[in-house]
Amino acid sequence: MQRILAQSGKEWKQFRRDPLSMWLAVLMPVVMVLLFGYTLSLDPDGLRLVIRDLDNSALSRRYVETYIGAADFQLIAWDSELAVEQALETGAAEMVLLIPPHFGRDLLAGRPAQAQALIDGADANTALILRQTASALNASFLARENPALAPPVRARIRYWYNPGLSDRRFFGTGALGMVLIFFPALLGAIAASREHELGTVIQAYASTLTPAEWVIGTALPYVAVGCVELVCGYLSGAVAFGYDLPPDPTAFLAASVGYIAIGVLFGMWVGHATRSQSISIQAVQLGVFLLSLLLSGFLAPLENIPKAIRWLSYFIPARYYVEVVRDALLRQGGWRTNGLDVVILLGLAMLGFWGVWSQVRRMRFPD
Amino acid sequence: MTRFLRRYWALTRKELHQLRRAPKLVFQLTIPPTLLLVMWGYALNPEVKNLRTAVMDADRTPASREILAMLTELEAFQVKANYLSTTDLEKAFEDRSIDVGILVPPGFARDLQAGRPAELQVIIDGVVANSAAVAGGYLLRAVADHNEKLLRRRLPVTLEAGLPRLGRSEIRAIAMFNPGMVFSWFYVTAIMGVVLFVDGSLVASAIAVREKEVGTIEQLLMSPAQSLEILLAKTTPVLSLLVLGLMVSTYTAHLVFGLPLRGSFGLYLLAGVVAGFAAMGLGILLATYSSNQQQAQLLTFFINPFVMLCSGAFARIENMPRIFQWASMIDPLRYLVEIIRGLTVKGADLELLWRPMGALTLLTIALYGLSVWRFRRQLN
Amino acid sequence: MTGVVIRARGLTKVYDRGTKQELCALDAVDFEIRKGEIFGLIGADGAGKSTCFKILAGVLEPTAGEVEVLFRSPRESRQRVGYVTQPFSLYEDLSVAENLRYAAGLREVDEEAFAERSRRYLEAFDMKAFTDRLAGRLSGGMKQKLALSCALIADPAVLLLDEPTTGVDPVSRRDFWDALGGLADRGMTIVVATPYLDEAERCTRIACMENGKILAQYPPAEFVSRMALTRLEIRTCDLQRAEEMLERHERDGILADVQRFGDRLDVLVSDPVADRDRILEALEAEELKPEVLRSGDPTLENAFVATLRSKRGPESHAHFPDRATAPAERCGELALGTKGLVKRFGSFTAVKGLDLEIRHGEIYGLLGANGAGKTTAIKMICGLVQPSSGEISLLGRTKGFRTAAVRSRIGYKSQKFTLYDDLTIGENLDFYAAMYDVPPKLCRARKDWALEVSGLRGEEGMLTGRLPDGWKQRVAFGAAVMHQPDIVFLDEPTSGVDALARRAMWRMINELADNGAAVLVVTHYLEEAEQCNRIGFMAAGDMVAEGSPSELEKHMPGVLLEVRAANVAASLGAFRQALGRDRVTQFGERLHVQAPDVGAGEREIQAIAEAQSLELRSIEPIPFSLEDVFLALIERRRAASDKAA
Repeated sequence: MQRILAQSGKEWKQFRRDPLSMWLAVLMPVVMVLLFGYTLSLDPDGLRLVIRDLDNSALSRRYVETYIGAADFQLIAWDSELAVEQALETGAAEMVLLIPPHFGRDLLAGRPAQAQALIDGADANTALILRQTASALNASFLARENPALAPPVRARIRYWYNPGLSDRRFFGTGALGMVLIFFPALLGAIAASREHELGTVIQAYASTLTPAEWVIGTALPYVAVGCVELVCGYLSGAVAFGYDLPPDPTAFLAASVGYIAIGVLFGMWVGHATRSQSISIQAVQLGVFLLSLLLSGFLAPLENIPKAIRWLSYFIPARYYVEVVRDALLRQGGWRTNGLDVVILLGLAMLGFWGVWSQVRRMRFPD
Repeated sequence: MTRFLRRYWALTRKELHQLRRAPKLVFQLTIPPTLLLVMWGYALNPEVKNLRTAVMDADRTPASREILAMLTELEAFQVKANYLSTTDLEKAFEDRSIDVGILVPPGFARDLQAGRPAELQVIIDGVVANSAAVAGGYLLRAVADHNEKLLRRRLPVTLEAGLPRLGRSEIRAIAMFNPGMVFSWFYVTAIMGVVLFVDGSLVASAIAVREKEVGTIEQLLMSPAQSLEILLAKTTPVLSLLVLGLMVSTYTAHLVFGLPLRGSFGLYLLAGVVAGFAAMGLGILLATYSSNQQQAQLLTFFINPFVMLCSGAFARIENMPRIFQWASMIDPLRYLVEIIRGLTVKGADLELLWRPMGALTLLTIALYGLSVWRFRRQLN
Repeated sequence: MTGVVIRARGLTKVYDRGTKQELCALDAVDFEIRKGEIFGLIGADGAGKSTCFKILAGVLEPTAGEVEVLFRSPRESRQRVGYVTQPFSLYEDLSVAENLRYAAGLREVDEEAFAERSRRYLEAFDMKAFTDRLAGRLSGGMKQKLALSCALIADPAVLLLDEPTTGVDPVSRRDFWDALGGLADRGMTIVVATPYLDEAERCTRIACMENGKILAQYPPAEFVSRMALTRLEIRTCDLQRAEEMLERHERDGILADVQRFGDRLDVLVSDPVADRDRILEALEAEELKPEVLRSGDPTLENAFVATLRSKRGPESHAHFPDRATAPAERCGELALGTKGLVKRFGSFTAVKGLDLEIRHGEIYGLLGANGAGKTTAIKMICGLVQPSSGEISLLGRTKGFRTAAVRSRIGYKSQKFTLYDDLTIGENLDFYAAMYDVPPKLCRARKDWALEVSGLRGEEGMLTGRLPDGWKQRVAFGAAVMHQPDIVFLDEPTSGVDALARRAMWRMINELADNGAAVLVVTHYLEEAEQCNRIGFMAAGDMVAEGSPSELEKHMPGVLLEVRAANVAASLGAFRQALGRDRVTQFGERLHVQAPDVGAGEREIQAIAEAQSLELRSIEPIPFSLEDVFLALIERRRAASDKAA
């Protein structure tokens, strides 16, 4: 026990001495949660609209007003000489609403009349939303002008757990999952590889410290740092996006500690294997950050990833953890809904411990 | 001048030799970007499939069955259960065993018959907001198509009733440049820019700080070479690899996702080179503030998410809060991605792209100049 | 005092067995170390010393052979072995106290013992004031003491010290060895590795290692006496010509060895009378006006060079391919001058008004402890750091040093290795040649020269990273002077290099100066300083003394007496008590005592010996070493500043 404490105390003091790591530990979760939450939002806002009304009748103006009145649009130009193609090419407009001549006359005559929405297709996400918005506005124009043509079936959609359908909340939780594995892994990797790089590992080898004591002693302070990050990330999410702890947070907490431990242990494993700080940092960036980002289902549904690589996602702890975080913070779920994920995470943590332990089992230099 | 060239060549050759001995670096600069590109192109597809869906038909009429059959035929909704009570449906939601619930309330057919709006109730788990929104969009579109069908069926009735005759307005949405609405083009172009920038800054900070770590920097600064020479020589080989990587990525994106290159290739190359300088300038600048590899990498890794996410490569800048919108103004990546999209998807030319091109060039000069200035001063 | 505590028989270690890089680091080594001995392992980088220590510490498994520490396997004895590694295994980002606590925690020292021992060692090593300072911000000497304290905190029976004095200044080194002597007297067994021969003299027994083998193991004095040679120190009016002439005699087998040291030549002869006369006659014939300063026993360095040479065969003597045409004309001209050079970092003044004058053809040694301001001074002169005030004139200019034209006339080799590990040796040389504007048609010849003098001919294609540090130093030196600079700055050019390679490098440096270059050597190794024509001592930013080595020795008051006693430990204690700590130093089985003059000193020593009934074997006057001078100067300065305060 004294030896574990000596090891932990040393690691903790070293961490505390490095102001860069200290700052990053606190800032990283806050920044990542906010940055991901705010910048990845697909909620369209201020869609740039250019209107070209070649008809200019009372009806066409009413049609156009339906669009201008919609909250998402921001009118850039109306009936100017602006070349339509050019407006879209330079990105000045995202949608051009083109009303053909005789639009009003055709409608009054009971004939169908077609307006065109030219949408910048380079951003297909926004294009999709624009297409839906355009057809919804068209329908509402029709319903208003001619109640007989109002849609017979109206679908009322309720979004549970997230009525405003804010994707900021959702990206923020994922970002928490990214930070809580990446940063602890980085710390673990640096701690382990630094010992090899500076040769200080010899102190531990030359003493009677056992491998298990070493692994636990080294990992402990970094898991604690991870827990502090969890609190920072959670608080910033709570303030910015209204995260809320579930009534029974034990499942969430157990999963978090397990998840952080996986990060630290994986980092230590990489650090011992590479023995070089810079290589292990790169390995962590690639192996932890990028893979988690891609294969955790945090940015887009995993279903769309080709089968050939999709199976990899079962080995990515972030896949389970992101589920747990979302469930706990956004749906107030607990053991009943995510027990299995928590158990898998704790299992992976044990596996990580075994991995590092078997690596340093001999406590001496390799031949 | 000849001396300058000779020294520059010696410096460049040194970097090339070092690069040759570090196949890992060459590999890192060319292969992962391409792989990433393909993976992200697939992975970042916002389409949804196979949502676990429960239906509850409280009306039990041909009309209700018709609309349910139409909706569950969609690829997005996969029926897992049929419930008879709303409590069962709600419980299934709470257990997370379903993602979507579609409920036809009693009197649906009656309302439809009577010409009153008939309501269809849908519950979607909104936590994964973007997927939920996409699913909601599919559903609304399907219902709109269904309405069309119903209206057409009903049209003769309406006419007999002698209601005012106003023609149907229609809107035809055309996705310019991308009529097939290929989602991957957006993300693939983003990744090409991001990889160039992130890789460039990471590698530049690593090679610049290495000289300091090993101690060769004093020797270099003592030699007749000027800082600009040293840095230009450091930049040249990596920059070539970065641009090569960009070309390989573009070609791969063309093969895999059909991404076109409609604009001028020369301009594309030029934009890549200018942005490469900016990225490496950023890396070198960060390296001058670090004393070892570890610090340089951490710093670069901390700065890069800002550069990446504020650039609007992944989501519209206008969707972000103001402060991020301002930050994006000095983000070189923003302009690079704008140019890449302009030249590939949109087929724009310099006349249309002079603004992002000019902004990118100015930022590059500022970043690279700052790094040259700092490089000389870092020993003090 | 006689029990064998460490025993190794046929100890062998092979790295990467069965691969292309197979390396035999230890080759069937035998030794036995008795309780209370200071056993020295002497050898160049890569001789196998560190491997040996790792095995004794139980952190590396030997490939073959038997090894026993404290009657058990090294691994089982870990708890009772203290180990100071090279580089020091200290956590630079932890404070002194935190490092000690960690070392104690790992070895389960209880709280009480920890408090008592840490207080004792911090006091003994003068570190009480620094307990909260980060280890990374300690000077080399302090780090060394901290590393030793960490190893001692668990009160070990065996102490393993792997090059504990590398990067440590002379004052700290002497303190350190005094402390070791005390520990050994109390019965601790000490195994120590060092590349420095003046330290080797302070061991009880030494083993000379090369290529994983122990070439010989004796007490230091026996090494010298076995050579049966006499050393002559000769001064002439033209050292260069005298050296060349005597080298010819050396090849003819008339004399055993000749080496240039600053302002004199050291010649080894087998017959002290006949050979001496023959040499003097030969020099007279060339009108070199020889003068014998001293004749006596060879030094341990002489003994080592002889041992190594007998194993390695003759060295190469390549000359610079295109010598300057009229070197003599330039010699004597001022190459570098500084006046009142000052550098302040915040409130700290690193250099306080430095005045320097270095002429073409001169080798100037700037000597001082860590933190004396040497490196800052050299960086200011090179233009890497902006001076706070003062004037510099470099190669006849007073400003514009940063221009390419000036810098291509400067050669610079910083303390760290300035080669790229991931380039081949040839590529490194090509690179520096082009950077310093060596004319392309001369490149090939100069490159060959650099390879030749580094002893690496034909190894052009080898990756530099695979060279041992000592060899890198030689290539780096060659690379730094390939463009035939007019002024050369060298920061500790020969650290980590063995005695033989050091000689080769000094031969090159001498040749540079003979060709008219001005050479400034910055160092804290007295072995390097000895080779300079003129030396300046710096302490705390000030120039304390300046002059040629012989002139400086005159700064020492009194004489030095070497005393051999039957019971060294008891004698040391008695002398120190009677004469004061500063005047007595232990060198293995011998004691050095400072005295005002020979007669008075002998009387004093005899009196003490009689009073304490100690048996003395001999008392002999010996010359002061440069180290003695250096320490005395520092001591005098400290006393003066204490008085002023």
